[in-house]
Amino acid sequence: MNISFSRLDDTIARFTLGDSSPAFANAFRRTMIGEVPTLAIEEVRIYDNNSALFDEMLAHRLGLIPLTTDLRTYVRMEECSCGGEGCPGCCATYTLSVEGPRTVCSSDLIPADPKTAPVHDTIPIVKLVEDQKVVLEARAVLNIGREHAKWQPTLACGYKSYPVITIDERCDACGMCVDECPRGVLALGSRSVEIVEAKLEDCSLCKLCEKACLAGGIGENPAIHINQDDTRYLFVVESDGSLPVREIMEYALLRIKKKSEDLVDILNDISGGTVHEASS
Amino acid sequence: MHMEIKIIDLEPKKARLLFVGEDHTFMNALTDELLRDPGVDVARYIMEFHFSDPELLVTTVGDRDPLGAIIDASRRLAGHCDDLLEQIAGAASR
Amino acid sequence: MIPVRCFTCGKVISTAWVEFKQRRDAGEDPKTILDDLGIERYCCRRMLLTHKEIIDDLIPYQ
Repeated sequence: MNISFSRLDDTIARFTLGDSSPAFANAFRRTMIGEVPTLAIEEVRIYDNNSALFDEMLAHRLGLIPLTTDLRTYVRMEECSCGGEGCPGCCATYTLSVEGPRTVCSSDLIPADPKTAPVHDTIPIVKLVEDQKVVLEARAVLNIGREHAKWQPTLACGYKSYPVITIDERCDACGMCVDECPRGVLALGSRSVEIVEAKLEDCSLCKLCEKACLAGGIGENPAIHINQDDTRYLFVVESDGSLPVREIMEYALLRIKKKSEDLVDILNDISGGTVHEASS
Repeated sequence: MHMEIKIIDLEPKKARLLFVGEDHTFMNALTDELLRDPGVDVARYIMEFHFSDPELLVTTVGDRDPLGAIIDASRRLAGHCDDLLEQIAGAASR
Repeated sequence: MIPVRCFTCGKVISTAWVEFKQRRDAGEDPKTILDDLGIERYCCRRMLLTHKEIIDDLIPYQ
């Protein structure tokens, strides 16, 4: 299995996963979305709120704010040494106290631990006018996207199979597929249609070119064929800012690896037992 | 978080295991990897409802031990992850 | 109030609202504003395009 990046920075990664399988590509995608933990506000204690929004709407809006997550400092509540009660090892606390008239922003959310500050400073939470006031305390915990989408570290996270375009000798360079292609992958060559250099990866496998070719009256089979390579995948992973993309990818792979290794250990114990039974 | 497995049925050429708390994410990758083993005949998992635990069925041909096949498949999965982790570390340091 | 994130993909789009509203009210084409603000996908674009701010009408009630 191999991986080659065409782009990798903190917020977005584009890469090709080669020599792989649909099952592994999907497991990797699902793990990145649903099993990489991040921090999100889970509990809000509201002391004062006479704004136009209900308490629960306010709490919901707070929950959706992405928070910078440090996976080395925080652990998940049920794994924490405090036994799920909530301690500085598994919870990040925030205070917010704003009086109108002004708009409450995510930067008004003061973290107890500056490392867990909100990713964006300018998320509007609620607009206050004269005499309106919001005072609250919030607690963020680490959890996974499978539990609630607010813990999802990824935005757009998906893949497509690598496109394989074949143009056979029956192509008469009529150009109908070129006009039809919405991504501009094809161009008119001297004797037949050609693939524009570096545009192949843009192909969305929509097969409009095949249809256009057929509409040109070429017969039963089009002269251009779009296929997908089931061993190569083009991935896009975008982060919401709580974790760098590289960390999301590495964590996801470590999760799959850990599960596999756990399974090996368990089965070794079991089959060791049955071998013993059979011999005795 | 630890994996929990319940054995429903274990015969020389057939195994049925219940994976507590797992879902398609891992099971699909595991069955796919199992099917790459020429000694494996059937590798399939069933989730009765969305929220129920998946049940894996593995049968083998020849003298392949079903648990051994699962162990090898998960070792291969872990190997793939190692490969990729190494390459990511290499790409990021460049 | 503008939703914090895009309903579909989860991108934080509320940070772009103030600028989007200002520039739209000044008569600029929404397409160029959204492109400028880096809001690429159509799921995120519709969040801003179709939003109607009603907080000011709600303020008398609490």
